[in-house]
Amino acid sequence: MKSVLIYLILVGLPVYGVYSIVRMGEKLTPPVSIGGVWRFEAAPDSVCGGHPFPDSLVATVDQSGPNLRVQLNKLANPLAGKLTGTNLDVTNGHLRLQATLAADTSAHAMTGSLSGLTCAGTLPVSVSGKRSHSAAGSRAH
Amino acid sequence: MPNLPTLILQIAVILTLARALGFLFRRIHQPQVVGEMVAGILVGPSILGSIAPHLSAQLFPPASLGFLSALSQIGVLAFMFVVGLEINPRLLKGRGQSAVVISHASIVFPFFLGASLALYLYPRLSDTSVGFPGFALFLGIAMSITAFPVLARILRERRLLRHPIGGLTIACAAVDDVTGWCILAGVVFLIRASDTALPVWMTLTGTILFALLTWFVVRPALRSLEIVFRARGRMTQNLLALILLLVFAAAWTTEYLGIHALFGAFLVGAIMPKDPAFVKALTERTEDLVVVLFLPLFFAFTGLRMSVQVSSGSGIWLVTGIIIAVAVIGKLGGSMIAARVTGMSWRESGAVGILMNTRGLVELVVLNIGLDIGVITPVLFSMMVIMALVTTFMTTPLLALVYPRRLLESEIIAMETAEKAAA
Repeated sequence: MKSVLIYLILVGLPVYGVYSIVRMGEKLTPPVSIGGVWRFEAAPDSVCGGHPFPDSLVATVDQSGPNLRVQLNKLANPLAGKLTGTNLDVTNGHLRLQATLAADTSAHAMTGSLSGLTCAGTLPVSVSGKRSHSAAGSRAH
Repeated sequence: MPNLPTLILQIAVILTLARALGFLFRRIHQPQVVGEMVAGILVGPSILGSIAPHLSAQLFPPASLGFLSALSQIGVLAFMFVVGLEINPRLLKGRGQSAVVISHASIVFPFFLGASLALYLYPRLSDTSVGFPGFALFLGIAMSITAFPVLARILRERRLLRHPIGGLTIACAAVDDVTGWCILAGVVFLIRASDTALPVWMTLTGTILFALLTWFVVRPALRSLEIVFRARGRMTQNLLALILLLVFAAAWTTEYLGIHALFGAFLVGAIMPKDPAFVKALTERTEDLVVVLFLPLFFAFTGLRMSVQVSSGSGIWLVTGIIIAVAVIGKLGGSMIAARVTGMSWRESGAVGILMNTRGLVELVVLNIGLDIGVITPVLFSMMVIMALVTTFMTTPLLALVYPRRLLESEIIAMETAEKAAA
């Protein structure tokens, strides 16, 4: 009888605690999932310091909560920054990508701008991106 | 096709580093496996990639990692089979009740704390691709793991298996392992339920049928292997091939059912005949290659998956510290309190708690499953790997502090003398 009581206290109570925590946590809202591979299209003929922006950009987004690391094409320095709500803002000191996720909840499209921080007087380039591969999917396979 | 020279070079570098660090760690009274785990982390992007990015890119180009991954996966399958093989119901003889209470408390308490920690970590390190229940349950089980093989090695090295504490702890770890893997299978099933090609009902029915078939049909049939082994007097190549085929068939089935290949391998090991000579022969034939070649590759593959860049900054170390604290309080504290409540002294309870807190490479296996199914991000994976290393590393010095070797040995001698006198 004593063993059963000890077992119920030591094991039963924490199990009930886990159940309560799972119920409690369902109300939490994590950042929107945007990790994966995105294909961006930039406005044509946009230049920065005499060099044209490539009109097709592939961005690999690594996400950990709201923290982001974006590998743009084969740039040596990835862009880093945060996702605040549906607004993405990442930079590597030379380039800055600011975008807003599409209103639907699937988070498979975004529009925004890419600015060359080192090209004074150059207007930001409008970009629109679509997610071609999600990080959760690629981790799962 | 794999780039063979690159693959051979990778294996050579990994093995050299693993053996060297294993040797160094043994010199500081740590299990060799801790050094091998550290060697794996050293070759990853967090260390080698930061210090020598060009060397890292040349030695471990991303395109080559698929082959390293395949080799390490096969190695872990074999390793899980050996872990299952070492589980013996006889370990529970005479201490079943205490072992079950301590073991279950030492799973549930860190599970509860891990799930509580999920409330803090979920908005910070996860995203909408993972539901909170899956995240919390996975974090809970990842906090609850005890590394049965590392623990067995520590106990053997310190001659603790002849001490009641060692006997009880190894029994608890055995119960822990079986319970932990069953819970993990359930958690993986829940998380993958929406992902797998099979409908949920088919996965569930298939898993139950597979478990029943394994227990009631395959397990009795396996006794014939023991009979053949005794008749031949050795583990023949054909016998070994048959056993390996069984391992791979079970691994394929559990993977197909949507749980994980490792569960099948573990299950076949657990239901193998437990005749000591049979187990010894089978372990000797499989363990050397697994421990010397495949596990270092798995550690390196784990290290290569670590990523601390995404949320660089001091915050990452603070969260890692919190994870380590929760893991230690949950596992060490939970086991210690349970041992104390079942009638052990504080010193003995402390020793049981310290030993049960060893997570070792089994934790790495669990974390890799979590990363594979996408329930944890690479950053959280990295933090948890560090936790696994720290909790394994602290076992030996803490045990020496709480239960000095001289005291343990004098108690063992006193017990042996009393047994001889009684005989």
